[in-house]
Amino acid sequence: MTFQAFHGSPTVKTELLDRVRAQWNARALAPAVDLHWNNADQPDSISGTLARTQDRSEFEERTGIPADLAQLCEFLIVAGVRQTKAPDTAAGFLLEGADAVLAFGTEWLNAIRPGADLSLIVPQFARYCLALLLDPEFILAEHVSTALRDVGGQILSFWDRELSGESLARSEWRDVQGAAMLATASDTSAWGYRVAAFVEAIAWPVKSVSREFVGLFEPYLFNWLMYLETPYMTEAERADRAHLLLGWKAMATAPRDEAGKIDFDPLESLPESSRVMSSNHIMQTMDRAEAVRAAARSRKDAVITALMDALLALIRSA
Amino acid sequence: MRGIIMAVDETNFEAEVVASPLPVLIDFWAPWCGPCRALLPTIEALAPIYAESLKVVTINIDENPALKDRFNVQSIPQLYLTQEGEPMARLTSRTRTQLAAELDDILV
Repeated sequence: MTFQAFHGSPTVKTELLDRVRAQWNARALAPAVDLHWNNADQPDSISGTLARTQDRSEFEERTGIPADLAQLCEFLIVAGVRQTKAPDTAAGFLLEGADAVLAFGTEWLNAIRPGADLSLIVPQFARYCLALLLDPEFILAEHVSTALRDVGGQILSFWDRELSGESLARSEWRDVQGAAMLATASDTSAWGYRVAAFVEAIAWPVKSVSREFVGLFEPYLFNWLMYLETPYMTEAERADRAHLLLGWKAMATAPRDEAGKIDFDPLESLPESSRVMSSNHIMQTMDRAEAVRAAARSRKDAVITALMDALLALIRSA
Repeated sequence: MRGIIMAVDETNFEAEVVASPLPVLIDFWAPWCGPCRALLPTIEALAPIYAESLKVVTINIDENPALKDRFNVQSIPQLYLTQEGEPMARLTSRTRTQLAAELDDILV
C-alpha cells in the first residue's frame, strides 16, 4: 500500500485534526495501542477519533497514515501517563502525565506533512531504538551480553543494508536468528532478559518488523523504565526487584501443557522470587513501590519524551 | 498481509484445511482474548515467509465450537500445524523468531 498522509491535502489534515484537538485538550480521549472509536467498553482513542474507526485498514484509507505509526505514537503516550477511573467526570476517567508527554497527543499529528509517505517511520524508529540499545552509554548496557551485542550489531548492519535498498537472503537472517536465540537462552541477567528477548524478536527485515514493533517494544520499554527506579531503591529493594524479574522470566519461559497450564511450579527453585511475587509481599511493599515510582517519574518522562522527540524528527523529515 | 490469512469456519474447514495440499497452521483465537490479538501481528508477519510451504488460517473458537472441540482447544491463543486436517504439532513459541525455528524443524 502506498501512503500519502492526509491524501496530500492540508484541508483534510485540518478537518481530521479538528476532530481530535478539542477532545484531546479536554482530556476526553484515552490513548490506546488499539484503535478505539464509538465502543461501549472503551473510551475513544486519539487515532480512533481521528479516522472515526476501529479498523486498521479503514484508518489507513481515511488518513493516509500507517496504522503501525499511530499505534506507536499512542503507545508512547500510554507509557508516560496514568489513567484512572473517575465515574463522576464527563469522560469517566482522568489522565495524568507530564505536560511534555501529553502534548505529544497532537504534536505527532501536527508534525505530519500532507502528502508525506510515512511507511518507513516505524522501521526507522526501530533502527534508532536498536542503535540506542547497543550504545555503550545506554543505561542498561551492563546487562547486554557480549553475544547479544554481537547479534544486535549484525541486525543493525542488515537493517542498514535493507534500508539502502539491498535485499538479504533468508539464510543470512536464519544465522542471525539462531545466534539471537542462543544469546537469549544463555542470558542469566535479571535485567537483561527482556532486552535479549526484544533483540531476538526483531531479528527480521526491519520493514517486516513494523506491524509487530509496538508489541515487542512494550515489554522492553517497561523493563527500561523500571530500571530507572533502581537508584531510588534500597539495596534490599534492588535485590528484590531482580528476584521479581527472574520470577517473571521463569513463569514466561516455563513449558506449558495442552491446556496452556504449567504442570510444575517454576518458582520452586527460586524461593526468593516466590517470596517477592507473593501477594503478601506485594501488599506490604505497595506504598514504598509507589513512592519509588513517583521519585523516578521525571527520569522516566525524560526517556519517553526523548523517544517522542526522535519519532517527531523522523516524521518531520518524511 | 492480512489477505493471505484466511478465516476458516465450520462450513469451509473441509475445503480449506482438510483438502489443502499444503500443511495448515491454525491460529485458534477469540475477539475478547488480549494475548490472541497480541499474537496476530506475529502470525501476519510469519505467513508470507512460509507462503509456498504453508497455509495460515484463523479459527474463532466462539463462532466454531465444533472445531474447538475437534482440536480439544482448552486455552487460547493456540497454534496447531495440521496435515489433511489432523494435528502434526502444537506450536508453543510466541515470537516470530522462535515460531520460525519450530516450523523450520517440522517442515524440513
